Amino acid sequence: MNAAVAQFIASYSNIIDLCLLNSLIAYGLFLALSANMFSLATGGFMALGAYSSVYLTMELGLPFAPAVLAGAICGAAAAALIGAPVLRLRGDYFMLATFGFTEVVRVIALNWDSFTGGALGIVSIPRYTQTWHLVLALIVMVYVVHTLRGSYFGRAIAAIKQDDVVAQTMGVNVFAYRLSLFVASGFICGMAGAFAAHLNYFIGPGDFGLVRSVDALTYPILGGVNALAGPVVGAVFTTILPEALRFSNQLREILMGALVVAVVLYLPDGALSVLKLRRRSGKSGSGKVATATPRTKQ
Amino acid sequence: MLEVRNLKAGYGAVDVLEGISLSVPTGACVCLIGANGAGKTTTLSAICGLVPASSGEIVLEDKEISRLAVDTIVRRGVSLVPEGRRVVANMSVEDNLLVGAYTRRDDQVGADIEAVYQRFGRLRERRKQYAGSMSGGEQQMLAIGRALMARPKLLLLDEPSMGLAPQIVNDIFRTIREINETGTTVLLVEQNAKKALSVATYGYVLETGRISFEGSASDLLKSAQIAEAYLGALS
Repeated sequence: MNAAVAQFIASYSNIIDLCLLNSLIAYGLFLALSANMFSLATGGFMALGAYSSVYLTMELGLPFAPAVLAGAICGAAAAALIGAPVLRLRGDYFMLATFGFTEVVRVIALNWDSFTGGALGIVSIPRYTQTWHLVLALIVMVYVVHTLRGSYFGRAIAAIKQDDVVAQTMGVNVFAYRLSLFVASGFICGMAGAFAAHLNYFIGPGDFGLVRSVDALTYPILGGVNALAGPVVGAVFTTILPEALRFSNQLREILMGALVVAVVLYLPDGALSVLKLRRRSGKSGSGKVATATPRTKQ
Repeated sequence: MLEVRNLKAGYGAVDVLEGISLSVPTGACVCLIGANGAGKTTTLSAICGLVPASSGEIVLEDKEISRLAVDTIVRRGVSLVPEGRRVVANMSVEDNLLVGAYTRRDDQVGADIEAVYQRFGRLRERRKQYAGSMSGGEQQMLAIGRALMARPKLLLLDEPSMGLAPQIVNDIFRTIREINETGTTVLLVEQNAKKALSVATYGYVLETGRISFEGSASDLLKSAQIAEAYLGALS
């Protein structure tokens, strides 16, 4: 039994690491989305974390832990820097501005040969990232998000998400909250970038572009932006599905797209809300009055 | 408590308020009545800092507040019950009240929640329920309760009667009177002039961004012009 489990883990360890890494990124976006920030800056933050940590471990010979921390801080610093102007924008404009940031970082990575290796990227990165690092980071992340949600701050964030004008009139400094969440998201994405770089042997500018940023947004949206487990569900699902659909390369892109559209249309609270629907229909089936799920109204 | 002097404010380049002045003495209940688009909501928004004042002064307890951020003004003791209630729909009634107490760090919050439940029995029954699933009247009670949770010195109410059944409107106005009688200064914005003037002691009539009349509530109720424009003539 144990041997079977060990063998399973060994043969799928890559996928498991990827699921964990993507779950971590998903929480970064989950925090941003909790105040309605549809950020496409993920790629940029990850690139900063990746390149800076690789520089520290490979060029300066620093141990892995401080390098990861430095990567995370780079992501957070960038978020703080672009936060002030970018957070003035709403909706589509915010999205475009954060996408612009990711592109700027990518183009710099492409051209700054001496630091990033240009288009060829950096190869032979030592594989320092262990599965337990990712597990630990994810557990801490889940714990922090869980604590935050039940707190005084969590209530303020929930109010901002639904109606930032009302949150303001309750005395909530909406800008400070959004900036903090954006910086936290930068920190997590920067850290994830550092982990990703030391997991893959190779990094190049193309790894941290638009596709990465959009994928990262998909995880929590697919899994559920209101449920604590949403980001993990979305990330694991989105990571495993392409593997399961390996038999056809075109089909998997199409299926992924169709799936996202279907979830947004039929399960606006994410895939996890399927459970809630089941529970509800079960209740009304047994003759009890079903409690209505809240609809955003008025 | 509150002095507004020659206030101009609006959205973008267009001023909705073309220089209004009004005064709300401490402990008073003052109403601002007027038709759609007169600038009533804009006046309250400007007082809270949600809409920037382009000129003029807003003075709260002898301090100019027109350049301050919304959350700072709230901390100075101004609470708004917004138009259309705007409760946080996917939060429980109790959590809505807790958000209302956001600016407070004292240990009286629990006691104040109890006081709100005392005032609005329906909210106690529904305290674990999502706010968005309640009726309009219950949501209005919650919006008022939420604003009271900040222990405001000045309570601003924006059209509390909007879209509610006459019986509920009476309840809401009785509550507003009670709140005022326990010492909270009230500035009430209403389209329902007759109701507003029944609880207020002093009133201002706003017409397209200017104050056209002002006077004691009884004078305004008697005035023929007001009657024709806002109360329904000879009713």
